[in-house]
Amino acid sequence: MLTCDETREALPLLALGAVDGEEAGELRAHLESCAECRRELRELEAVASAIALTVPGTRAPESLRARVLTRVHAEHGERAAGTLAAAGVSARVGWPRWWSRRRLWWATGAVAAVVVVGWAAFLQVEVLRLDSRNAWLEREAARSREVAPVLRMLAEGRDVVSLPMEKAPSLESAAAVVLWDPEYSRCSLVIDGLPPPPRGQHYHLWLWGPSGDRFDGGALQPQGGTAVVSVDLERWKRSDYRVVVALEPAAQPTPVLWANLVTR
Amino acid sequence: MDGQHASDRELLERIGRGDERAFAVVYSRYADLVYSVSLRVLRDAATAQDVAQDVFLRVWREPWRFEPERGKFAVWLASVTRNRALDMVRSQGRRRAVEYRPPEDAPEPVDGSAEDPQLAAEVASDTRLVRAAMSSLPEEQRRVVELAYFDGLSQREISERLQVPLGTVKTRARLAMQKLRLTLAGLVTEER
Ligand SMILES: [Zn+2]
Repeated sequence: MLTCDETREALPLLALGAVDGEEAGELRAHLESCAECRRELRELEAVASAIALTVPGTRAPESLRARVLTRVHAEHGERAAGTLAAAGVSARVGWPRWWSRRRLWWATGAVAAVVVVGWAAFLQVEVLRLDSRNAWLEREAARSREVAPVLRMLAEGRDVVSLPMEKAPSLESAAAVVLWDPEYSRCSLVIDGLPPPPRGQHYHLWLWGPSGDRFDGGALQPQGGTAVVSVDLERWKRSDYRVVVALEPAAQPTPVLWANLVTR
Repeated sequence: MDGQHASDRELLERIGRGDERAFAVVYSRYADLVYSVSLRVLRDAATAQDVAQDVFLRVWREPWRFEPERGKFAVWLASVTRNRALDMVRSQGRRRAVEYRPPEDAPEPVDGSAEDPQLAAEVASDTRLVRAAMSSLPEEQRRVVELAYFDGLSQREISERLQVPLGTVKTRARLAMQKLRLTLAGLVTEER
């Protein structure tokens, strides 16, 4: 058995992780029976851990942020949506009274124009970045079109709920998600892989209230199958409503994409 | 509400409740540090990113692993990163013969997060303190510490690398750690 003095001699290198093999075993044996030396080692280990701060600083690549937040969101996303539906959200949502339809469309159009360009670029970059470096990245790459915008809102530090939209069979190949920021009473639709509408029709956005009241969100203007629309829901008086995308004109407009936003 | 100014401890508690936004703040705060440590040990950008990701996912899944009473989060995180990176080096069976040299075209050094000036200043001052402590060591002692801590060499490998007797390696390590301990006493026990 080593003495305390012999042990103390070796502890600095042990704390730095440079003692292995038989010698490490002997030290561990002494440490198990000696609280004083254990305390000494703990202090030296604390000093050693601070050495990590001396590295030359290097900026982490932006793509790393996307990788990490995507992974975290993938692990957590479904739970968040489930929790929201179960618990409801204590947010006041609705349209401002002073908003005419025309004004709303002008505003959402302006927002959407900016956002489409920004997000479309971001989506592409994401897909490129999420190359098949390993198994999960391949999986995420398939989902990334859906996840990337969420990332972006998260990156902006906003508390965003992401609800996948229900899809009619004809739109099975599309990825559609409602990004909802209850705190700011804002929701955004992000739709990707939207097939061209049948001749003579266009995709149209509606908000349906529970008692048959409707708010016309205007025509969607997809660019290359991607549509992003940002909608301000300030002071909406409904407790719940449905975001609907329908093909129009039609005798009986039928939703092809929809999601229910429930507030309480 | 956005968490930019929340303490690390607060953010970790929120992460424990599944708060992605709190996690994003922690990421922004420490991505550069974690990546820098990882890169220093691994010297390969792709592997360094893999390890940095592992470290952050671990924070997401097990935020409670950090024990505030044992020191600052930044120090803990940096040291977890170093350990994880060394595990990676060992699992790859790689042992580089070349000693670390800062790259000549190194990106601009960064000292903590730009998003929270107060935090940035704090991390920067911690970093300055540790760097000053390290650079005040005689070169021969500093190299022993770095070869052990960042390059994961055993005492025997260090003695071969530096071509000095094992006893000399032990003495240098002991003197270095004594001095660092005196300088860093406040840093490693205070909590944020
Ligand atoms: Zn003892």
